Amino acid sequence: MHSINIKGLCFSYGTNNVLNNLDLEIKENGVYCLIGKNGSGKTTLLKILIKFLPYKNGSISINEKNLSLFSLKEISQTIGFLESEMPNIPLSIEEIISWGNFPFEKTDRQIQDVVNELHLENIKDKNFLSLSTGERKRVLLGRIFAQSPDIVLIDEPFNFLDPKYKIEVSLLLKKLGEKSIVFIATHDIEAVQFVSEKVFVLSNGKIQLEDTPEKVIKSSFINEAFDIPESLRKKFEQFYHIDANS
Amino acid sequence: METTNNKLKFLLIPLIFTCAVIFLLSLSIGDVNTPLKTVFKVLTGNGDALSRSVIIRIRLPRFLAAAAVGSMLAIAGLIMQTIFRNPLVDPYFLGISSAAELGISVAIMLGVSSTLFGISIMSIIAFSFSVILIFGIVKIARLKNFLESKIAIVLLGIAISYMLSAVNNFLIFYKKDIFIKSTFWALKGFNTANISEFLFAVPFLVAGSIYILLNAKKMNIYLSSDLTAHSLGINLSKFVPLMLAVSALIAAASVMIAGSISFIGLFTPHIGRLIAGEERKKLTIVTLLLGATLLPVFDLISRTVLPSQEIPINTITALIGAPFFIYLFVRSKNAQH
Repeated sequence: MHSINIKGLCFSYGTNNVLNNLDLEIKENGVYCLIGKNGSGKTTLLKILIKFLPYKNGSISINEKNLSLFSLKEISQTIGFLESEMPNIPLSIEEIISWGNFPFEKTDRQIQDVVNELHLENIKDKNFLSLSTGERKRVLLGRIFAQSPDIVLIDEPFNFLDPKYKIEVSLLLKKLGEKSIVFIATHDIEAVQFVSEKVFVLSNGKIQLEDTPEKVIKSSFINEAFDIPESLRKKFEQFYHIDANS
Repeated sequence: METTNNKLKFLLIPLIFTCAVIFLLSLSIGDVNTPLKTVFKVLTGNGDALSRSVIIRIRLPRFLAAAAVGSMLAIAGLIMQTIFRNPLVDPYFLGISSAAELGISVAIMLGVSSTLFGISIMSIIAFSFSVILIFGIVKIARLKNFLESKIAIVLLGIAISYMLSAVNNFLIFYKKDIFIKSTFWALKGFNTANISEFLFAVPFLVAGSIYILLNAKKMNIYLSSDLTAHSLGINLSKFVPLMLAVSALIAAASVMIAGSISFIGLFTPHIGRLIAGEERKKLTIVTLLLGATLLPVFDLISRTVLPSQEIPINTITALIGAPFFIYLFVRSKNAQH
């Protein structure tokens, strides 16, 4: 079984402490969400997990092996990562999906399977730039399917998606979650409720709460996590159809 | 993947054919035109002594040097545009040609005029100056701040170019006869091209091309973003400086042979894109062939448009290249991408 284990992680940009003694543990495959307001450090945490940013204090283990012992190549074989920004890649869909094989120096073995599984047959020769945002997201996830890593990290997977693609992407994430740990940074509360089994609330550099999406959303921590003032709490509950009394 | 290879073949046949036509025309056309029949005779080891001398000793080395330099500038430009994810950079913008020109001024001041294995020592000094600059830039580019911001490397290149030009201007001011000699050298084109210079260029061209083709997949991935490239296992602190060094070395070798030639390094990769798309393997092959075709065409024009005179090739590439480039972009629907 796959795992992520973080203990006492600290990180700062200059004097700005972003992560402060953060603990987090995931021991089973599935879809997990990391929520928190803009600037809370969600993206920073994901970047640390792929060793794009160095950490000084604390320890991180992936599949019970210390992250510092992973080479860059081993990281790319173990962790699949999608950033929040939609890249402008002027290449064919088939080419982009084939990147999933790059860390393993394999040939096109899995690409056709992924193309079939994600129903990309009709568009596989098209240019990525000619696709809609939703289709692009599906292609990028296709690359992750081809990579089939133990751990999948995705930053804001639901940004700019219409309802149809939000559901499609959520279903693909759930499918990935059957074989991998899928760890998502997001502030899309609706999607979180649909997709994840466990939610981690990041605030003030720490995980302040971890629980099922229903419980997290009803808890008062959500106000703190998203900086929602008391005056807006009622509107917030109305907006997200939260029945605080149930 | 078979379809991709077929498409590539489909692209390559007309390109190779065009290159071959330009090759024959370059050997045939000159102050004294040689009929194509005679060119074929000479190429198969026959023909009269005069034709042999003109074709084998003058026109062939000239074509080879122009084709090699064209390919070199084209792929050096392609690498730069890929690494900076910026279509506006060219092979010279890190200061390669400024360094070479400074080297020439220094060589002129020192009164160097001999040759080594058929290559002028002046050119070798120019090349050495470029190489020193490349080492400096790679060293700085490996610093973390520069690696994170490509704009910082661009600015560094511009700053270094200005600085080297300033030193060069000072030398010219100090010793005025450098001016004419160094300007002549910078614009020398293929007037003095010989087979030794071509042979000097070949290893840079061949090794550089092989290196790029082997790293084509990495370049494709790199196009998306630093973060994605890193997450797929590409070590950016090695990949970026190495690519810069390869591009700069190829460019420096080309400057040593032909001085600085504008536009080829900037626009050949763009024409390549219009033909082959952005996939780096296909694009590299097409760009190489385009460079080897276009520069000999410009060279042919530069030596034939005025009777018994040669216009500096740099003037021709800019005068014809710039409007042609604009025309291509206005016409092409692909230009949107």
